Amino acid sequence: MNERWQEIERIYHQALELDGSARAEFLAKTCDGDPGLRAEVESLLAHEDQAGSFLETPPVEMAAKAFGKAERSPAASTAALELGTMIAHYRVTASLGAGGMGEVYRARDTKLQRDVALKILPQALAHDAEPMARFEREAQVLASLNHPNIAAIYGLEESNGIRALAMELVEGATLGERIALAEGHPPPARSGEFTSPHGGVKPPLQLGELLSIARQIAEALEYAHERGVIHRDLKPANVKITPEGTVKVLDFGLAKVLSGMGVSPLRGQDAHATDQNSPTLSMTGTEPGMILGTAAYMSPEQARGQRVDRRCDIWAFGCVLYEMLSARKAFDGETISDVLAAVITKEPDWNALPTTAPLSIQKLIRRCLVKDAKQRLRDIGEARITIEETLTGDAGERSALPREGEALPDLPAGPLSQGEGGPGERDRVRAPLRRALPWLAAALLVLLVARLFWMFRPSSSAQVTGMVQLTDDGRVKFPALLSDGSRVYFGEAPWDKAQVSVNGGEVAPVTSVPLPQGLLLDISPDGSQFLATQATKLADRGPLWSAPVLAGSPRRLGGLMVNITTQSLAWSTQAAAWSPDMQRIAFARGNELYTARPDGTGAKKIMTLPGVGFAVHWSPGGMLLELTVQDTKTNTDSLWQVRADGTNLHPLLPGWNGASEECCGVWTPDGKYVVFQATRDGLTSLWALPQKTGLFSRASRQPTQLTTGPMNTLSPVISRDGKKIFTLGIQPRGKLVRYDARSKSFVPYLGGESIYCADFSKDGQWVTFLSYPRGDLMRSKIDGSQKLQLAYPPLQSYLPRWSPDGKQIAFSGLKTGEAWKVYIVAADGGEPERLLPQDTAEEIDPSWSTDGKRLVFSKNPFTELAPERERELEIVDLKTRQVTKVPGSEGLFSARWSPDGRYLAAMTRDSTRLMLYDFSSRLWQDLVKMGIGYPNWSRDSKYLYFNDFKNTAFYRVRISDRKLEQIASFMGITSVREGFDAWTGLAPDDAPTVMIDTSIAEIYALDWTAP
Amino acid sequence: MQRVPSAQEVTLLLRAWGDGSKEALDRLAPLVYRELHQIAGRLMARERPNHTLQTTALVNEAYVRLVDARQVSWQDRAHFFAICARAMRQILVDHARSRGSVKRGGGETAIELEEGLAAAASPEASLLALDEALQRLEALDPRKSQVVEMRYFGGLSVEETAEALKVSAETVRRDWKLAQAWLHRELSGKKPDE
Repeated sequence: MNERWQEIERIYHQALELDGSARAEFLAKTCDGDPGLRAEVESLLAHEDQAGSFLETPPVEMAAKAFGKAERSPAASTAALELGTMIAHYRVTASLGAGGMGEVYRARDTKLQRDVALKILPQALAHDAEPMARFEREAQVLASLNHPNIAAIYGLEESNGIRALAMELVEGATLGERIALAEGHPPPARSGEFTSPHGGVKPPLQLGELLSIARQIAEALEYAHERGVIHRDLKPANVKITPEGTVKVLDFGLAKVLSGMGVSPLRGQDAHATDQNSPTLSMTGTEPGMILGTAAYMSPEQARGQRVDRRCDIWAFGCVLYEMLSARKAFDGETISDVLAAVITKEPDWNALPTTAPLSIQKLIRRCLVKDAKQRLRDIGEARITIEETLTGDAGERSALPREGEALPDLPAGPLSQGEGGPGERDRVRAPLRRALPWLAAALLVLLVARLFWMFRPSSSAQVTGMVQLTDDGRVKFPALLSDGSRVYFGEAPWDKAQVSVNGGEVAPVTSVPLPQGLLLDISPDGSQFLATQATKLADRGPLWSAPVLAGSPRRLGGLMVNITTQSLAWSTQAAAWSPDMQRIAFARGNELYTARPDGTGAKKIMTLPGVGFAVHWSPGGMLLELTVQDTKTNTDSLWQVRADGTNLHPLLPGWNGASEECCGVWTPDGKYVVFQATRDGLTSLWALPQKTGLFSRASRQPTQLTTGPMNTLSPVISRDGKKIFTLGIQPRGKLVRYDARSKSFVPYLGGESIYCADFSKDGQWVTFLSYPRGDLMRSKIDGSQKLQLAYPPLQSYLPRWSPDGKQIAFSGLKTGEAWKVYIVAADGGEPERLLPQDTAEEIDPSWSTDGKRLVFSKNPFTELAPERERELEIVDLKTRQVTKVPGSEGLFSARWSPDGRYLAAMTRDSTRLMLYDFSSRLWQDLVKMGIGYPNWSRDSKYLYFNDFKNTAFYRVRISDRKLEQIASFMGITSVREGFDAWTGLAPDDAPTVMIDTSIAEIYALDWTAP
Repeated sequence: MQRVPSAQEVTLLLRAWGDGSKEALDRLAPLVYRELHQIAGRLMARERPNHTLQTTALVNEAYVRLVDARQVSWQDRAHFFAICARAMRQILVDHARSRGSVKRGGGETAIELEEGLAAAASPEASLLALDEALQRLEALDPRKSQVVEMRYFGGLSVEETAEALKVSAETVRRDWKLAQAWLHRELSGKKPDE
């Protein structure tokens, strides 16, 4: 860049700031004696005015026109055939229109005297020998399909340079048209429309007819799949129903055959597999909307352009079934991008499925629509069986809402069925049954778990062969699990350390680690010492201790600190570990990995990690370290390995689990496997990843799943002989309770549902809450009626708040790979919208102003290592979306606007001070100094209620005189203590509310074999 | 047939580029070009004629297809979009050039615009003219040319552009302003000394 240009630029920008004569004067002065310079600047300034928006027309649109012209060039089009034209022995009699695969005509087979459908192939490719040969081969395979539910292909014909496929002509409407018949009706929902003969609303399809259609589609797919043919483009438009009710699936396999020929005119030499797998997307002659139509049924792997197999048909089958039941598309959007993004990231609106639809069918749809193909229903034959059973058995009568005495569903209570029960459902179960139920459920659960473990038997890879429950004390347990070969050590709520024999039996306390809020991290290879830490005010760090297993006192290891998190059940901290030779300790602090001598001296940083390190483990030989890295920006956890000297850091499973949520990899004693936990769709299970053991061994690097639901299994630890895996099995469930001042006890509230983060509308009639453990954002009347889900995965919600007018709900939302953001959703439903779509920083904890025109929010104090000064409270004007910072609010979070509008309350980052901001004086003052959690204003703005940091009691402080009082103790109840779920709140009458933990959490020993 | 790059691969390359690896960029650019070309071609040829195509939508689709969004920071995202912008420019220019040469019976000569952009004979011509003007701008001031590429061809916001170029948003705003004026002058065919 030359100097003159820099000068021009400088003068130009300065001149831009000035107007009229001031500008002229400035230029005259600055460019004195250099008329060329002045002319240059002035001409640019002149064009500045005109330039305005000349670069605003998107160039793509410009080119679109050009591309559009190319599209209509004659080479790529198919010539319209005149009626009466003969193609081989077929006489064209009528046009049936242009389908996704070219033009289609009705024609008369003059030899066999029957009517057929003729599909004309685009001429451009009919002249290309090589693809044509392939087409013929593949068409032969398709022509060999002979099934009553598949429209037959008779043959490939050619005459006068026109090539056409002769196919079975199927009269009747397409399934798409059949579904569309219901248009104008509201989507069938809620009440017994399928079963009630008197129902006022006519559903799009009667259940029987619907299942019959579904069964026939499944049979067609099953038949084809058995012969290695994949449809690839199954959608309602490709399914025809004859007047007799017979289903004919059209265009089987054509997508691949045609796309393989390079039908798309834009495909050049650089075409890649996307076209192969995106059926109609690459076809010529598609009508407007066709692409959208097809994209909606594409499986995530198709949408990503990955290799596909028959599971893409199973996905599409799920989409079709969903659409038949709900009369709406499972994945929809305005543009292809939207649709594809929905396919890849969104869950269908499960609430759109009529509640009266058979549970078995709802489950089937969910199993078909699992995004990870590996976890999807494996065989369409299973779908066919389910449908047949539903059609013939009494399963067809059963609805998703269990009626009286039907609390136990017919399928495992996996994540799919959680949260489906309506409010108060449990209370309606008759009394004797209710008493028996927990036992029954527990027994059944164990049976089911056992069955599921054993059912999962991939051949010649690691597998679980049996399971024993070691503990049975009913207390909430938490990671980490440690074992010295004879005992298993673990945490018990709230802060106890406990142990049990590896053969099961009584749970005993660990007495040798008398550290308040202590957490065990590791046990030395000789079984003599623990590494331990303590939860402290720092929240994310704790001091490192060693403690003898049997007797003696703990010893602080230098000034060393290690990472701690209590963010979720899936986490064990374990940020420190003994080396196998006991000569070193490896530990993680923040983003750094260290080693030190066992006495805490000689601490040496060995490397910087790509995130916060946890779950550090040494390989049996002491060469490698295995650890979990938490990326605080994307909120993902992943497994990494690094040499003990800090070199060769690499992720173990890059890209394996969509939103990476793996943790706690431990080596088997022989070093052949790393066993770890992974969370998918809210369910945590154990996996084994083969390791490279020798120079010549080739590890497959594909993990094998060891456990499946319905129970979460986490924090694996391997027995010293390598034959058992000890794991913490958790089936989370909570119960909402409120404090009853008269009886001085906590009583079930809102039906004792498994919900939390309950917030009430101003009139006290409505409540918004999160279901536990799924975390679905819901709202309903306080009697549980008019329940509506407001947000869907992958959007996770937290701390919803009603607007003062009751029309909107603001909440903190987290999408995988993004930061926390504030969202607003209409209380009557709709798409949640980002409060500040342009903002890239984290936003949490919205609180409404009295008039509902503004929201205050804060930055997440625990993630994103932003400087203190950037963590200010911010107020958004909802009309202008203008953001203003609250003066003096650096480092504060969890702001709460007082109902009278006079104050903001907020906590310091370490949660040890509650502060009060007075809008009139614009000053902050200390209100309370103690560990604070979940502050809430009383309705009259006179008190702030909160719980203490350790969750032992409820307090309130009076604003007028700072008087602090304890109003309820948590003694005698076990609240859910992990992370966000440790929420407390206030009922409309200011009674404290909390969700108590009714989870089943026990230690199990798994027998396993691994080749 | 070329292998489809995995989202992970693209993501890793993106990170490597963010960390300063020039080789990563060399490997990324053709991947992105190919993907964008494919998407663009498909969308342009088949979307409803009245459907306004947004560059950002296009680039977003490429992003969804190529990048594992969970694995990248938004800075990486800005880098990706910057590559998209370059690829987009290339695609459009290639296309315009081929269209133009068809019309001219194969001639590859540059199109001189006398009447200026507004009166350009065809979208192809104006695009080629803009591309050439941008090349001249690049010779004079590479960063300004990049800003235009990212903002115009890639649909990047000021902030994203700033992130990708590692300069302040204010700098981008100023560059964008001056570059627009400069380009407008170039394209209207009037130089101060003429």
